[in-house]
Amino acid sequence: MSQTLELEAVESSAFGCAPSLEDGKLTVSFNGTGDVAAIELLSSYLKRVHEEAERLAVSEVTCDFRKLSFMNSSCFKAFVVWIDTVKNASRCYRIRFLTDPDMHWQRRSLEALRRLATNVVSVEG
Amino acid sequence: MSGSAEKPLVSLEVCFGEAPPQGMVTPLCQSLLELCRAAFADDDAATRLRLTAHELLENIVKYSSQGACELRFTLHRNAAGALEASLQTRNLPRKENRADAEERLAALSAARDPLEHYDSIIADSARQPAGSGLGLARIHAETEYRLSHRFEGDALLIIASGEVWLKKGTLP
Repeated sequence: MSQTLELEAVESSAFGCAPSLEDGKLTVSFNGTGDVAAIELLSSYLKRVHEEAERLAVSEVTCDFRKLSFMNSSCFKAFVVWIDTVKNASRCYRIRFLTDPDMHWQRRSLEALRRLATNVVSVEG
Repeated sequence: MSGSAEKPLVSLEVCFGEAPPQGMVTPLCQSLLELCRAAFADDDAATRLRLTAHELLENIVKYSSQGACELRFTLHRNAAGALEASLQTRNLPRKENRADAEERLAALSAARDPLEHYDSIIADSARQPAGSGLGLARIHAETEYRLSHRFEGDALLIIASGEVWLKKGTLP
């Protein structure tokens, strides 16, 4: 029996997160600008993504950054906290970041997250 | 201005009577990005400058006490004749943040390997509620801009600078 996603899309004026579940794979697509106005929304959303990933027992969560034009260090830190949580969870899953090769900041910033947990994080694109 | 041998070729200054509202940071940095995109030969250099401006301005918003603040962007030739972009912020940090800011900036300057230093700050920040110094370390590690700072009385000046190349015909 297929499981249903219990996580909805959220959006503020300039930032949004949209989840999808296909073939047991959880993907969250981020868009807009991750600045100070997005921090609260993003931090609480990533907690819910973690809960959902655990509930669905997925082996991987994909974060699609291809429509995310910028992310400040506070939003970046929200990902650090999430990755740290996953790294120390009893049941670990992988986090895969999809990047736009034309947005060079994505590769640079996400490489730092990969170094934080090489066995959890991968960066593609 | 650190490393500046001549007067700026381009200078843009934004002054605030007090710390700007958070909502102004993104539009300001977006404007700076568009300006640099029109002039810089390398689009990535423009996005690195935007990131630097964003992190510096957000620090001003977060840690300023009352009083005037400013952001100054310049293009100038350095002592070696290379074209350099600089961003300078000036603000009055809250008294309780001054020692911490000074310590973090000194640690950045002293770090032999910016990436290694950045990685350790990232790892520490996971369990810190706020004020991890991630923004400054990110500038240092991700943008290749040199960071320097000094106090002028109670005012803190942070200067980030790095070499850039312009599109042909950008400057007269």
